[in-house]
Amino acid sequence: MADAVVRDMQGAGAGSQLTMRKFVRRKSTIAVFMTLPLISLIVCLVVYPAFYSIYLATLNKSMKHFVGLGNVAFLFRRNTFWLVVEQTVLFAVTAVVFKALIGFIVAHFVHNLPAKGQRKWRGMLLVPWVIPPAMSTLAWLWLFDPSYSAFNWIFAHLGIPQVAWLGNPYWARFAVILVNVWVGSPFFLIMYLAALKSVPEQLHEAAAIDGANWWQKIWYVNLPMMRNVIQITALFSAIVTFANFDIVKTLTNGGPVDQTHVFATWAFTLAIWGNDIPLGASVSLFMAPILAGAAILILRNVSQRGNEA
Amino acid sequence: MTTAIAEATGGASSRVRCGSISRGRRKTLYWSYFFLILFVIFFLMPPLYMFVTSLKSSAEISAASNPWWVYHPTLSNYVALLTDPIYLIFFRNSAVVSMCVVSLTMVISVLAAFSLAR
Repeated sequence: MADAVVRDMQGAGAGSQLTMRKFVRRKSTIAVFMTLPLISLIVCLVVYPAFYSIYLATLNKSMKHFVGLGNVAFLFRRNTFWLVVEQTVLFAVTAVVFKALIGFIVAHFVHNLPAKGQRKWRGMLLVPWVIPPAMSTLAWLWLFDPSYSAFNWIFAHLGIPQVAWLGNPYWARFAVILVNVWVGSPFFLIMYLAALKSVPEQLHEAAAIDGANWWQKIWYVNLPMMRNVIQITALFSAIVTFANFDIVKTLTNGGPVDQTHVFATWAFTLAIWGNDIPLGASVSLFMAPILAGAAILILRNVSQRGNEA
Repeated sequence: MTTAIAEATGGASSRVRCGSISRGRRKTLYWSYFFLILFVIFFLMPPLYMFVTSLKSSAEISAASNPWWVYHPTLSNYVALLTDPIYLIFFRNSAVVSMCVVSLTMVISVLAAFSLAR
């Protein structure tokens, strides 16, 4: 900054061409030029589509007349919409809770191991997160398949009645959540393991001297130390799970009688297959306030953490 | 002096090792291995099932035999894919897309991050 000021003072008496060159050479100008690709990318791929979808949501089905909030009013009168809202909330909340629980538990088990053997366990446990979800969901689809089903084969040998995994609405909901938990928990595992490693060993020793058992060590030492990581990871995962598309689309495609649709898949079905793009746009806009709220929470948390550190 | 302390602490820890804390620790280790094996089975089941199924012929997939094991492994599926010109095009598409995405993202984000961090 200082050298820019000095150069400005040197060039003060010169012609306007020179001051123009100084302006270009100033650091803030260079910074703006360097962020321009990112800004233009965001404007083209995020801001413009967002406002375009708001515009689309106010049109009628043939996209010729302006209907205002007519699409929203129509959605509120439909039972399927409330079913989708219920299923999305159920799906996101249950999946995130179980992902966090499994990640937390498995992170503690991995942390218990001697440091030498941890790498290969971590590698094996990360596999679900590395495979593209659309592909691993296909494997689950075969596992759930009614006629060649691998699960039902085991059940038949154990004498348990067969389950129509993707045909029964309740089991289909269970299956969708199970696959989501399977895909997402390694992420929690890695984040929590990193947080666990940053808990100072002295705290555990002090707790042990004070007579704390393993449960008290987890509850009074580990959990408070990991609080920030747990919050941020859960919020990130909540955003991704809420906007989930590929798992539901591949596994059940909305499932038996629309019972497993979430916002994204239902919007896709309405807009692309139902040929009613404005209605699909207004469905997908319902995700925006919830996701924005979660994003604000995350950003606030990050800045708070910055102040503490 | 320091070596004496180190020896003393080493001796203390080795004495503790045959105490009840170490027995408790070994028990938690065994339980950790037990549950980790369960979780690894859960996490690796679909990819392994996918792999086992990829070694089967279509006749064996539709047969009513054990779906978890392959009795007549065959590489014919892989051969069919790798000799299929369309699949090779898909493969090339994936490579081109990922290379373009990585290089473009790197350029744009490195520029922006450099100027925003200064």
